[in-house]
Amino acid sequence: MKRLSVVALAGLAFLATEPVLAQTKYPVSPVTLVTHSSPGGGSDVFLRELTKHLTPVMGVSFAVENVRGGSGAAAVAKVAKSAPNGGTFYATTPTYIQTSLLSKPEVGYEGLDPIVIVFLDPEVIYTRAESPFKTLADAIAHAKANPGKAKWGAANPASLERIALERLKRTAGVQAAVATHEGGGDLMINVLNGTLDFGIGEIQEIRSQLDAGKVRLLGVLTDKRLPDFPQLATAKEQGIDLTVTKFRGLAGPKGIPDDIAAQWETTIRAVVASDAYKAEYGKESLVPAVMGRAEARAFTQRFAVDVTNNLKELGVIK
Amino acid sequence: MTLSKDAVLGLIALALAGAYYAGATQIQASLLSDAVGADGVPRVLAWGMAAVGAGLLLRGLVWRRKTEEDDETLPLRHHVRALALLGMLIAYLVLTPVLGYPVTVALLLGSVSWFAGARPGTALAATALLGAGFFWVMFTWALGIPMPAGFF
Amino acid sequence: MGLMTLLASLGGVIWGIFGGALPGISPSIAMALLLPFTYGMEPVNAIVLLASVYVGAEYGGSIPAILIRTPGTNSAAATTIDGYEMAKMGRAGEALGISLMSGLVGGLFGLAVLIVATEPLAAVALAFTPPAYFALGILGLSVIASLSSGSLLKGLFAALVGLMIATVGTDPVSGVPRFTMGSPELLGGIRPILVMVGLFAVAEMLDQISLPAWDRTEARDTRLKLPSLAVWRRTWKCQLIGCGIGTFEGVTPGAGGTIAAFMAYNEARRWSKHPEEFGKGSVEGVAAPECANNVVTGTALVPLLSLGIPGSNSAAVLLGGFMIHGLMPGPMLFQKAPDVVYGLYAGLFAANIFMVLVGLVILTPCIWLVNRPKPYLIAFILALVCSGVFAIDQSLFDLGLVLGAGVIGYGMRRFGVPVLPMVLGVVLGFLVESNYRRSLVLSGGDHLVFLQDKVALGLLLAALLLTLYSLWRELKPK
Repeated sequence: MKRLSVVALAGLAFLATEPVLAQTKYPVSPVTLVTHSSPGGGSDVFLRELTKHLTPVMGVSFAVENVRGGSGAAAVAKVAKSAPNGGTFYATTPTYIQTSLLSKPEVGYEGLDPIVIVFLDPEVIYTRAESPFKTLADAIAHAKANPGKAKWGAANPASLERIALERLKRTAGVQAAVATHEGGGDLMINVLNGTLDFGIGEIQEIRSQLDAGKVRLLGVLTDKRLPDFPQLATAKEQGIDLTVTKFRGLAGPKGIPDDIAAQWETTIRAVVASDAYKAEYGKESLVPAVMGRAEARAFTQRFAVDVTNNLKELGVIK
Repeated sequence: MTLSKDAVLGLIALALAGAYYAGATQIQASLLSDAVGADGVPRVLAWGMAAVGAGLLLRGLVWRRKTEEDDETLPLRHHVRALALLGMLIAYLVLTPVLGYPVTVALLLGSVSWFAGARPGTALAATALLGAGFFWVMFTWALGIPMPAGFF
Repeated sequence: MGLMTLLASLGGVIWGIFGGALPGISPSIAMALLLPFTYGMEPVNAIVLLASVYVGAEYGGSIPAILIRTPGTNSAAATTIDGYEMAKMGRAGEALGISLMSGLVGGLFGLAVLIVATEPLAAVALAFTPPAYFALGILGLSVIASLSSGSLLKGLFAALVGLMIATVGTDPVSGVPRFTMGSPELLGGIRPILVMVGLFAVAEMLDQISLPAWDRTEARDTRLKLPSLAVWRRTWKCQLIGCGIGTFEGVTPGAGGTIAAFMAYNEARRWSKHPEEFGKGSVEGVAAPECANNVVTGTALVPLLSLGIPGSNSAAVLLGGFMIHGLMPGPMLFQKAPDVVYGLYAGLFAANIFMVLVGLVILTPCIWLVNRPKPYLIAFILALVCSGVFAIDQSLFDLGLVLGAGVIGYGMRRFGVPVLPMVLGVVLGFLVESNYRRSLVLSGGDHLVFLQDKVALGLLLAALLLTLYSLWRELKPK
């Protein structure tokens, strides 16, 4: 199967119309990209789409491997123990930092070395079309006026989104029940059937409901408005000082040579700028934010400090 | 006096309830938790298990009800052989990362067939080798599962 | 429908049956293994391929359930009860025939429901609030009372052990680890299939190793035997029950084929003219669960196609398949890509037909395989278990869990503790606990919420009635 799929990928390389960049040959093939997400899940689809565009540019084949278990801890441990030759990477999301801080596994996020950051994922607050709320400020006002009646939902316990809602309660000074779920699908049902006032999630999770007009966006938790949704006000504009950054990138074992890291940065920059890929990630409202190794390292470090502070503030960790 | 099986099972249930309850008290509290708490349902399950254990113990001691299971008289040999088979499976578990999948699965096929009564000889060896090849092709090649390669 | 779509359907079914029959390779894993393959395909063919794998795998799981008492998939667990009993009596060919034809009936029924009633059923899926899910789980657990074969106390013991196993892992509300003993492998919980493979297959082998070889002089089926008219007459009612329950369980995201199969088994026994044969090789006991879990292959797609919500791991992989081709399942799919939707319907129909054709070809050789000398059979079953379990997550830790479950199963047999309540506990524990607590979070700790929600109230009443009825039947003087 794997061999067959490699052949299929090589075939794709021929068919692709992307201009092949002139560059030194990448030293390893196939490159294994490891994710903690299950097949068809967020990071899995991200990797599979990315590799589709990377293959013709880098001239090597890619294999996506789903290593589940331990909320990402198993996948991180596997990559950390692999050879630092550019042959194995882990698809990073905030989850691996959360898990490291909350479950303290044998190998934490510090065990990996970030090599690139590719996208930032905007987090949005949404509700069903029938809901009386038009903006996030409406929903917060409702929560203020009816203490103990507000019901908010996040996809997973101890996720970045869950923490964001807890912070929202603090910043806005309201009481609300925060229900956690077993993934975005469960959450969506409870938003659609009116059990919840609103849910929090990424655009791609709610895309189909959004297109069908079944859900309404109340606010976005970024610094600036999204180019795709110019009318959608940020939380900050609505008087709530809350921003949430979610990212997608790659990290490898420690000790990857500089030339490989540099090669990744140029390749990712080229691929992200290509029209074919733009069309795909544009649909998911992913914001390209390519960072090379040095930047990615600093970004990840800053992110981890932020999350640690938030968790401490909420009393979840000491 | 030998205990009836109901009574023994009751004691096991009580021990299990106790150990599980002790485990439930170890669950760390979290400010993200709800009113029921992460340990709420486990505590209820432990009490339920204790009640079932007490019921079984009572039934076994007071009524001394004879059950079908009490009539089951398995020779000691039965348990010893089961234990030996379990030992082979544990050996597989331990040896796979060292020797690699193809070798250990061949060893497992060979040793279990022999232990289950196949006569040692070329037929057995051939089955083990061909079987291992078959499993290897099926899992590594067809399914593309990265089975442990061992020291190779 | 093009030739390529037909080929995709056939290839998918063959792959699915093969994967489903391997213990450990679940339908979602079998689908995921093919996912990279679908990159270069036409969207319709890619979706049909994946959906056909699902159909094949849900059926394939019953083959080892019947032949070697090892469910290949979660939802085949209920089939082991009577299927394996029939195989032990030398009626393996007949059991496989019934399971194949019941699977066809269920698959086609599920597809018909999917085509005709997607819209109204989507409303059903949306009516399931957290209290309703809790009640649904309780309804599933109410089956325990009648699966306890004689001793309710022992049945409760087994169910509690199962529920305890289900609490291992990350807490559904706060995210703190529970009973993981510091092991990261346990953070994600223990997969039900691991417990099942241990309880059924490993425990059986631990016993078989000292038992004399099965008597091979008696008449044994050596070929697949399709059900005769008399058998159809006995099983049509169970298939009807399976269809009804499968439809209902399939459309509620998260419930799935396993509960459907168990409940169908239980109801088939309740309404049977020969309830005493259940557990001793009843044809009805094979037909009902096999029909129900194949209905789910159609109806589980309802929430995915109509709401864009994957109700199971398999549906999630299918969602991934859609997304790789730039399609977004959901309310707009019927307008944006009707060709894909209708192609999928046609492909599913073809898949059900191919399932029977492939079954006709491979089942007789399968029976031949398990009629090999017993020492080799035991060795191959154990090697299959060891390999298949590793394939799930590439984890030897999982294999250790399976062996542990095998030892527990061996012990339970000595004490006459029924295994099935434990399986139900493992499967349903998480659903029940997480929705119980989610309901209370949302109601501010008020338990009345379970009675205020109409769906929840109805399901809880049904659970109560079924339990009382089962108790009355168990306890009434014979």
